[in-house]
Amino acid sequence: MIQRADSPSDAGEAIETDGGVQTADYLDAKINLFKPATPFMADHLKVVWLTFLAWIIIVFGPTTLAFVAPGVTEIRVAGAPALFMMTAIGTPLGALLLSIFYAYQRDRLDEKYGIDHEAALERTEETATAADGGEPTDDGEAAQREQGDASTDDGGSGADAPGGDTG
Amino acid sequence: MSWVVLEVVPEGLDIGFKLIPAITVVAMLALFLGIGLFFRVANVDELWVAGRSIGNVENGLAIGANWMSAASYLGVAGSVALLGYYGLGFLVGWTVGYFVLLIFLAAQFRRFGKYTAPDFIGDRFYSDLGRGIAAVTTLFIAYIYAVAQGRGMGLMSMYVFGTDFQVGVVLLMGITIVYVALSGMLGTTKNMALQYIILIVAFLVGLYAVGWSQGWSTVLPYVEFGTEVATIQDDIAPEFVEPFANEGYYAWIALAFTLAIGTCGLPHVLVRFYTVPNERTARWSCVWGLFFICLLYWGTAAYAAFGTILFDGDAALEFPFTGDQSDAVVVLTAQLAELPEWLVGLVAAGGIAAALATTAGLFISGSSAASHDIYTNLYKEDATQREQLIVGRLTIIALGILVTVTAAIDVGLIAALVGAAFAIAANVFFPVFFLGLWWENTTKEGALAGMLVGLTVSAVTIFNEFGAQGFGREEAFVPELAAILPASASSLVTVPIVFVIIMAVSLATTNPPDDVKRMVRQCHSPEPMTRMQSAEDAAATDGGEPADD
Repeated sequence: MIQRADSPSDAGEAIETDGGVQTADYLDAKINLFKPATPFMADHLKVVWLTFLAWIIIVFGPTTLAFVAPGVTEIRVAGAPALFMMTAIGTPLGALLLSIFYAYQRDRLDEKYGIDHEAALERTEETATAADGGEPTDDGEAAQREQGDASTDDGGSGADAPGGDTG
Repeated sequence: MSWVVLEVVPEGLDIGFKLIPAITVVAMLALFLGIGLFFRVANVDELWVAGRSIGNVENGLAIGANWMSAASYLGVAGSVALLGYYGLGFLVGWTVGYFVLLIFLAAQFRRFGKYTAPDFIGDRFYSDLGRGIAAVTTLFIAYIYAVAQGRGMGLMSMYVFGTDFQVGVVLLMGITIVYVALSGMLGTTKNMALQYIILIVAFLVGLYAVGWSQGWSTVLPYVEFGTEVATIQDDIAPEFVEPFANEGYYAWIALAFTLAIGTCGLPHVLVRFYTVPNERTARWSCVWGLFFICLLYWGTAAYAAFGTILFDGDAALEFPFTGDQSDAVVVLTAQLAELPEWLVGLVAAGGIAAALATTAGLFISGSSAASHDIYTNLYKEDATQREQLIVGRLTIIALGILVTVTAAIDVGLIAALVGAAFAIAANVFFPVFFLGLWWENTTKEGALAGMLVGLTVSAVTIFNEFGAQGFGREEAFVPELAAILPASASSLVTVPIVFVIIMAVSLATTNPPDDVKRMVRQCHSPEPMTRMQSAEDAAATDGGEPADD
């Protein structure tokens, strides 16, 4: 696994500059489902593929089991036909739990790569169009000047940054 | 031409005018219209995507309401009652698809940041023709989907108003059209949260009351109907539980696959992800949406089980169900449990709400496709906002009339019809959405070829089955084709073929321009975007100086 410190979009550095990561890196990296080009994409796709595999098993597993082993329709758990109940109730529940797991993991990735959507939303509403500009080295001064307030707030309390109040 | 108008007879359903249920429906619709008028907007930007200001749970509720059509409310329980385990394919397919949408498309779509599915196709594949095909497909989906809602409306109207089936379709479709034309997307979204709450309460009150009054369930009927299923297996109909008694293994897998993948291609579902402020909200509202959907879907199998036992125990009725009876099984169950009339009426009113909410969303998708993607983008680039509104509203009226006529002819079961709409979405949209977002070398030519093949297969299979029913035939025109490519489950075969076509044509044609590739990359970047920014803007302004300093 690629260490976080190796990443050019190291969280600490990013927050100090403009509260985000380097857009340019992501725009130069090819999108490939099987060969992720950035550490973020590698981490993300690992979650995507693992949960997708689990999804296939949850959705098609019970019925396929009944196809290869027809006897399972006779199994009862607490007086209920287990296969029927598993498909009717268990499969949607499984998909829901997987969704929660994915969304939670994806939030953790945001955290790992120093991304804060709430703060970004407040900041960009203040600074209009400039906020999503390029890499810190290019527009460093301008971006820092514009985003000074928000960055300071970010460093402190993250999502609860009161930056929006001043806008 | 000899259209045979079959009589719709849900025998056993108490048909006749009922005052309190009628008042419930009228009050509910008045409330919807009142709120619709309150939130009425004349600004096109706000009309389509509610100014992108809708939050997590509220958007989840809107996703839920948008989803819970007559197919969910009436059709799923009906198909389980009629077809047993095979019917569970509808239950599974219409819930689990949200997960695929979540991991592969929802946030990326939000980052792409365009109004409609045709907008996405047009921009990603730099093709006005592609945009046109996508818009036509959107209208096709809205049409088939809404026809099924019309059938639900007609059946519910028989119970509540005592009308004929056809009169009920005309009456409730008319109200839907007036309502959609008056309010815009913002009003509709507010309504949809409200409609979700009303219909989930109506649905669950009925379920709890049936389970309670019959001594079958107490606090959680979702998991308490197992012994009733066992009773059905032992004493009434073993095929209810037997997975391949009604249809084979292939049919079940193909159905669940088609509906799940179709979920990811439905324009009126995708548009919900444009209404949220950022991609994180897109993700979590997808999760919330699935939760709200499950609250209803878990109850559908319970309704089917309770309904089957009550139906079998009724001396006047002869098991098994007919198609008309099964599509009314939710209300029929409440009625056979001898619940008070106002309560059965509430369940029926919920069915009307479900049908109305979904139809409203479909008509808006359709009108947006016509005014925004066909009229403005292909025909008259400098169309004023007023012109766009007029075109949009005319489309809603035209679509409404077409849907009403087809629904009154009665071409098929609710779940099967909606399943066919999902097959269109899966065959035409899912491959270009997925490859468009995940393979940057997908070219215009590849996308066009793939969409045309998907559209052709969908149209042929749908006509093969529902066209045949419209002409009064028992079977499909070509039964052999329907066995391999069922109209509601054609995607297990078609989607892989379309994928191969798109990839092959893309490899044989010139790569997409660099700015398109950067746009695709921007959709996957973790970098936050501003509220109103699209991937195109971000990709264009990147790397240079801040836009205006």
